[in-house]
Amino acid sequence: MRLTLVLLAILVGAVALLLVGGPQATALAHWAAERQRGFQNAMAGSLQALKAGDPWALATLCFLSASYGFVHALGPGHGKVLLGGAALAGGAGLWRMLWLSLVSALAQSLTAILLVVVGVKLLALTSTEAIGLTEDWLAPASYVAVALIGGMLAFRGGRALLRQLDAKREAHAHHHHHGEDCGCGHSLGPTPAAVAALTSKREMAGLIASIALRPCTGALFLLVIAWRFDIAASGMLAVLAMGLGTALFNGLVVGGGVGLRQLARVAGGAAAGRMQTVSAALQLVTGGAIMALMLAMILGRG
Amino acid sequence: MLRTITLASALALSAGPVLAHPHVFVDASAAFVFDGDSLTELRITWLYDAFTTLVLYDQLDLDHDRDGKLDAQDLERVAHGETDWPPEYEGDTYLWVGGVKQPLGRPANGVARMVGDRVEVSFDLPLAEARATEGLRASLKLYDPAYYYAYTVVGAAADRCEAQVIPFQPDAAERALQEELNALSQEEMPEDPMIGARFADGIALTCD
Repeated sequence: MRLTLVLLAILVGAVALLLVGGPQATALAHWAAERQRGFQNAMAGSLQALKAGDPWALATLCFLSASYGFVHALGPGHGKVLLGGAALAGGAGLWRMLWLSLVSALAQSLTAILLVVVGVKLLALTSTEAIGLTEDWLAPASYVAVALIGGMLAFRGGRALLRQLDAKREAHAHHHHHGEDCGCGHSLGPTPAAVAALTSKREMAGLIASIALRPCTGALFLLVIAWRFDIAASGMLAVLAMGLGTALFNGLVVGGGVGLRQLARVAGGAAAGRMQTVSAALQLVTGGAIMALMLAMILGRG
Repeated sequence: MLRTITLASALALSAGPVLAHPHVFVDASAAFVFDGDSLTELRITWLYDAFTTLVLYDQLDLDHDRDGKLDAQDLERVAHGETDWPPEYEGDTYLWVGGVKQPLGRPANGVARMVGDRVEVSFDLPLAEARATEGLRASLKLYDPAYYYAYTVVGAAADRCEAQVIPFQPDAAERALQEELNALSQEEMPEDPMIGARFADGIALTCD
């Protein structure tokens, strides 16, 4: 169990490296871009083969598309930041976070499909206008939504910390009238449920929507080509496969986040009170970091 | 067309230096063109990846007969569309002489052709001011500051002098050549926070 946690933490380190920068980050991003170029070129071949009527090309296209989604997710992105951060800060377990990664990536694929069906086919936007719409409106909206979720996490973490301080002070004033089993978490103290974030249905829906709001440019391009080649259904299937690839990568990030959270708790000490303090602090710091990163992405726009 | 519009989205995409990833891959080459004793022009060639080639079908409204292949008329559209730049666009082509960035003119003599399943565009970029060849040391970098386009420099040519491609090296051990190149364009690298510049391949031109 410990070993798994350490391995997961190393994964987080690798991703954090990419976000922070430095020569190794440059090397890794360059590697990812080279892989993407390879998959992209091969996808063009499969699209041509599909148009020419080779049914096997659909399997190849889906495989390539999923691989593209995986390496493309290695680059910077809002989904990874939020999912990784939520895994680190929130109270949701590994399986729930993995499920969230899967659903949000597939929802992002659906947004691309919807944008092309409604925008390009029904409203007769050009693909360039659709991409402009994505970059000018959907991307910032998504960043704002993600920043808000980060802010909510930070607010809750901060509030939980304050309450714990209050509870301690009060416990001190009461000279431990309560029994040991009562802990420091009586009515004013933070219950595990209060610290656990992103577990309600509404919150999970918000998280998924904030990620899905901004479709991938590569997915839009793929759909536009598929439509032009009269293989729209194949294009949609391939875009869903792309989402699976992205989900796979985000799953690794999420695994790392959950692992790191567990490590922090173990390191913070086994006592229930301390564990809750560590959780609350993690939530405050991670939520703040998500917010800061997203604001940087919004403000950094030309 | 692609250039016109993607410039706008590239600006939007340049959400900070490390927060962008490429979508268009270009194998680029450059030739230095001399007139008498002066460097007067660059001839730039962009070979797009096969996927972007298909994206151009839509963005430049190509392949009207829907056979999946580009004909002569389509290629003319590509040549025109890819050299029809907005005024502020510098063509992702940056020439430095002695640490000073050289202003370049607008593209001319654009042509396009297919290389396998990839479309290629070539055009001339005149120097605003010709530079004397004697003792000339120039550095050419082809990159998109926003890193929406990822360029790989695959060739360099010069009728005279010596042109050497200096590829981007991710590993520190082989940095010496790159630093040499950066020394030629010292104003550019340290202050340029854009990721595109960090990934840029370069070409060094050395004249006697």
